[in-house]
Amino acid sequence: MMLEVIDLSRRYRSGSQWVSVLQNVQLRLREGELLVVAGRSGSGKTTLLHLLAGIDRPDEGKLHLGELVLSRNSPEVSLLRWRRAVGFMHQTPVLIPTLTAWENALLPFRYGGQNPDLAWVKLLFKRLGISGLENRRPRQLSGGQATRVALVRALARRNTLFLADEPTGRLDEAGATAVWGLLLELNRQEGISGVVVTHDPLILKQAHRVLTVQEGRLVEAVVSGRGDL
Amino acid sequence: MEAVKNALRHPLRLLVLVLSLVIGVVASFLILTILRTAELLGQPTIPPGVLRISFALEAPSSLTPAQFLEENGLQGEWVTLGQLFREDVRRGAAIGAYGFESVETMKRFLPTLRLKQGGWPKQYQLLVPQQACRLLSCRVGQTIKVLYPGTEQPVRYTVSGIVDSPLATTLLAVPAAPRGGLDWRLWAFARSQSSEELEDQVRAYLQSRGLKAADVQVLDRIGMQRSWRQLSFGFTVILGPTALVALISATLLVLFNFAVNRLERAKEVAIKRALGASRSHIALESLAEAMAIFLLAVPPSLAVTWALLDRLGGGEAQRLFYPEVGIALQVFAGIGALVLLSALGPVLALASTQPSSQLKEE
Ligand SMILES: Nc1ncnc2c1ncn2[C@@H]1O[C@H](COP(=O)(O)OP(=O)(O)OP(=O)(O)O)[C@@H](O)[C@H]1O
Ligand SMILES: [Mg+2]
Repeated sequence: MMLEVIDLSRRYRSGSQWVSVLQNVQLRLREGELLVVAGRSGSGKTTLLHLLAGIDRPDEGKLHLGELVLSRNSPEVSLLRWRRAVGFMHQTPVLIPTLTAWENALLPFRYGGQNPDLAWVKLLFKRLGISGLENRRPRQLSGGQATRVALVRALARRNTLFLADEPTGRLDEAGATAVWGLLLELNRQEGISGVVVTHDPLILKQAHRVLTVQEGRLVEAVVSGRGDL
Repeated sequence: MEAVKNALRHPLRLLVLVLSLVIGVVASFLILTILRTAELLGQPTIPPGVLRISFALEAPSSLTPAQFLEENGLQGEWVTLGQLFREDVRRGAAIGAYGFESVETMKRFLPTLRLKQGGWPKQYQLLVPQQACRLLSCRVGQTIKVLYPGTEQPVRYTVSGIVDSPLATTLLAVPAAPRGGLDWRLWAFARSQSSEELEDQVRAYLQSRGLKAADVQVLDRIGMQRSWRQLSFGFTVILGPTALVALISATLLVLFNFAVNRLERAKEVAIKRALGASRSHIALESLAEAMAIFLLAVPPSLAVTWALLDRLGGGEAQRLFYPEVGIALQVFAGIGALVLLSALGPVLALASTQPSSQLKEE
């Protein structure tokens, strides 16, 4: 089992009330599984992904990733280890404005304690069609280019679990096709597992499973995925 | 490098911050130097139970200290205070003339010395500038008593030689004497008389000899200490507020810089945290930035102040202000601590932002 989520709950305070966004969410992600999460806006997809990425703490429940465990009271070090063990792409690409595209892509290595795999990062730039933009600053990049740099950054560490929040939300069809092509290839050839939040029909059929967030729970969608796992 | 780039994000804000740091550095360097000078000059040079007489004559005269004491029936001795040319000075070692530890300027003067009479000094021998020698009517081989600040007994030196030097007046000059206008100044020590009485006597004597003296002063040990304390208090009152205002504004600007950065950079920090950066990673990066700003501002302004003080002291013999390495280091360390401490609060707040909520805001 790659990732296991047990009884996960998350609520937010809104004014004087508590709003429960996720309730008793269960999830088992097998190794090499590609999972798509859908759901209407505001349903809690980003909330779930932040919990899976270790950048938020659950109010209840537990998460397991290999040896790692996360819960409400996990110490800071566990969170750091978890974050370093996953590749996470955030819904809106945030690049550091003072760094070049290349330096932004290498950022995970600065904090991860791994040696940067430059050839790999170079290849990712190429595969996403942004070769030659390595020395540009974020303000010299288009929204789609910045999104792809953020994707390279999320994949740079070659973690076995990849999490992406609407990675093609700001891309045109060609860009989206390149991104899905790369993700599917990494999934098939490198066995990288993925949880991807998206509504893009291009990928729905390619995923092993499609789940939707509904009323704070993860529900198996009617769409049938591919059956190679 | 990255720290510098970060600091340069807002050139105008950086400029104001650097400027206030510069003013802070210059003002505190100056004030510390002046206080140090006052402290050194204020060291008691009068033995207990002794009165010091000093006056400057308005016109040249042949009156010698020995003659003055004898004709006034004063049971005292006369000593000189001033820059010395001892053996060790020639070697460039430090000497305590006027209590200044630096001989940088001395080294500069030495090559210009021309020996008029006698030879270069050995242990406990002394070179006397020609003009001072005339005033003191000293000869090669004669003994001169020199009083060092902070010591109670004069040290005896034998005059080894007489030199033609730009330091002609230094043996007799006192710090408070007007530059250039000084003819000569006698420091005599007398016992068992009140200072007022003695002052009147000295004035009467000078008048009877047809000599005009400016500022006849008779001081005992306590009076001297008091007058120096007043002087250094004066310096503090004038320069202290300047330094204080500059440093407070520098501190506020550093605080402001990082507090504003905090809002601006919350998202960047959040993404770094999401990628696995620890609190200390973030804190160190921000502190590196504070350091970059500090290094941009402080060492250059220290250098400028150093040069300024060097000029202020003048190339002349009568030097008051010496830039000191110790003071420069004090300012460097003090302002460094100030910058780092005022950056610390915002930096720590920055480091502890929670990535999730920051990353959700569009
Ligand atoms: N920090 C927070 N405080 C209060 N409420 C929050 C907070 N974060 C999210 N919410 C609420 O939780 C719900 C789920 O938000 P989330 O961002 O997970 O939605 P989403 O499914 O990703 O939506 P979208 O498709 O628009 O990105 C929303 O109703 C949102 O208003
Ligand atoms: Mg979302």
